[in-house]
Amino acid sequence: MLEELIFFLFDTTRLVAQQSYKNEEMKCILDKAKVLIEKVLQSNKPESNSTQCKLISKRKSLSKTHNSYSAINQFPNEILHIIFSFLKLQRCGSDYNKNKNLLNLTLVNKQWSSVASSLLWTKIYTSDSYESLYLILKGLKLNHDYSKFKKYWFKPDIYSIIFCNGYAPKLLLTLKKSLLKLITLYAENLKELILIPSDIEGRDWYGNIEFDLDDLTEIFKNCPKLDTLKVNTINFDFSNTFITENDIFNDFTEKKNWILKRGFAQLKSLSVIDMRGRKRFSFFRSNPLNSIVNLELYDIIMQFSDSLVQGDLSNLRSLSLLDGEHFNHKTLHNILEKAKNLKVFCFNSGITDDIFDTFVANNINLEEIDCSIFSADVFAEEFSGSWEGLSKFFLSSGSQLKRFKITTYSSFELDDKKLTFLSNALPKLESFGLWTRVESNVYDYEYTPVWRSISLEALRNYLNNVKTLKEVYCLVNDRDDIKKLFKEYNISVIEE
Amino acid sequence: MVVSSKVILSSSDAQSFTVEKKVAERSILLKNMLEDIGDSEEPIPLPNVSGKVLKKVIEYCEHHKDDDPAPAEEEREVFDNARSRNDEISEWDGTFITCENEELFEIILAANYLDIKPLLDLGCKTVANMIRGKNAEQIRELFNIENDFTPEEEEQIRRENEWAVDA
Repeated sequence: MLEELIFFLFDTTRLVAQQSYKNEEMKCILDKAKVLIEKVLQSNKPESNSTQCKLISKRKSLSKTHNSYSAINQFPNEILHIIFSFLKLQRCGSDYNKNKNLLNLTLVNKQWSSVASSLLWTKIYTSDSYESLYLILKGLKLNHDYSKFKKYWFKPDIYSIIFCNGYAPKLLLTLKKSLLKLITLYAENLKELILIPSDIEGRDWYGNIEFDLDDLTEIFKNCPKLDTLKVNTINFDFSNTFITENDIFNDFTEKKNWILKRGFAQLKSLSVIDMRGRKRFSFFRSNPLNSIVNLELYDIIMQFSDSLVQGDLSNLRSLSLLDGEHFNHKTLHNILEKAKNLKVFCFNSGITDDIFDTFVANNINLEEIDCSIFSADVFAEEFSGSWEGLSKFFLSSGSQLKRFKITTYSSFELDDKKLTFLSNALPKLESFGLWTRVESNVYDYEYTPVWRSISLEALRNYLNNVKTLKEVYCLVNDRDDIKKLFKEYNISVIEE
Repeated sequence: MVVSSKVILSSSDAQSFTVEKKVAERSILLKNMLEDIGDSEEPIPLPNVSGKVLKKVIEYCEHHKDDDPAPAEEEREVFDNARSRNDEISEWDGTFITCENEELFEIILAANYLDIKPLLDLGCKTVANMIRGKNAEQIRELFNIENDFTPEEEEQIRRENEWAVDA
């Protein structure tokens, strides 16, 4: 026993010398040393030292008391945080799960309450009513005044608000005011503000929350850490001024301009849906999106896109241009000239050889292209893309491509030769989707099964070469043998 | 102690376990320790882990010794964010982690101390699954947790988080 103690103390000394271990660990080692000392004393003088016996007895008694508690009571906050994070809200389709699990945890005891509350308040989802927003404000006020629990509580930090508006229009104005109040008072650490239309089945969601410049200014002023902003409608019809290209900044105060600049300097992700054409986003011209990494623009009308290209787009990595009926290829060319680090490109205004040529000319190595959904507006436009244009692009810029989805109007099919070409040109492909859409006498259009002429041997060779492939979007119709082969290689076939 | 890629681990109750270095290195704590110490004749003391729990931890690490290495510090955030999305437990892991509550908690504490992220996650997922759907009282009863709130404090918390009830 004595020998064991000596060795143990030796180890302890070595650990102290290394000074690289946690205090907690050292405490445990010293505790163990004490236990060993007691054991030594007990084994040497079991009966003679009554004080020592009492001490040992007391320790045993304390130890027994301690064991009556579950070890879960020893969990530090970090472990509870991990456990609770598995119970966090998860987006489930268009709906959001209830907060019920986290809510229950706030009532278990003070330690659990503290950890669960921090998670509950970090990401606020509100979806149903104005009342829920009111209750959030009320809760924040209570929390803010919660000085007597300061020991256990900390002021909740809201990092994210995800807000699905599916309200009757008359409530929208009140709702917007409440939301802005929420932001003004409590969102100093807000990083993400997402206001998305609710698509809950059977509900009307007409009526959007419209933000004007003052609202945006307010948001940027109060949310210095904001890096993601997604709103469904932004209107720049401020001070009843009809905005034209020349007088866009005439009504700006210096302060507003500064705030706007500062705001956009922080912004990394911007998504704007349903932009009104006459109220252009022209302030991009003097407040370029230098920091923007992810840009999503929906319903782009008129020449908004031209002002976009004025800025420095070198940080841009993901660009989505959707439903832009007047988005022209010349502008895209200008954007791509500046967005040298672009990796993800989503576009639904008709992909053409001209666009592929633009990628080739600008030497942009994309990792993802998603041009799989056409907007209705451009459906009537003639597709001028061709296999030649596509293959030229693949050959020059496809080496890094991981995800590729495209719908074309040209009726072309894959054959064995093209598949062999693809395996060499796109060696890192993980997800592949190719559809051709042709006019139909029965419906407006129909898809053709692009894969139907492929031989199994060629497909097997392709799959052996492109080992990164995980999923294929395709219409295979009666080619069950193709489906079977994909399955053999553990590749998901998505027939959308 | 490192002999021919073997490491000796010593538990809090002085039990010794000889394991492959590769197995021990599933623990970031041990990995760093082995890098710091280099080849040494000394057994590595693990004063926070009992022999019973250490045996279980080693069983886990042996089974997962060929898995991808744990994410680096800078990847941790991504790893942590992925937590809420990935709550599946493999069949082997599920069988492994099926044990008494107290043993489970001690495994979690050991995984946290030894810095074995996947094991920590496995334990935490299991506890999360036990908690899911239970109210506060049921959770307290299940885990023998004392309610240290006064009725007033409890009511205050209810009101404070009222928004989340129907969100």
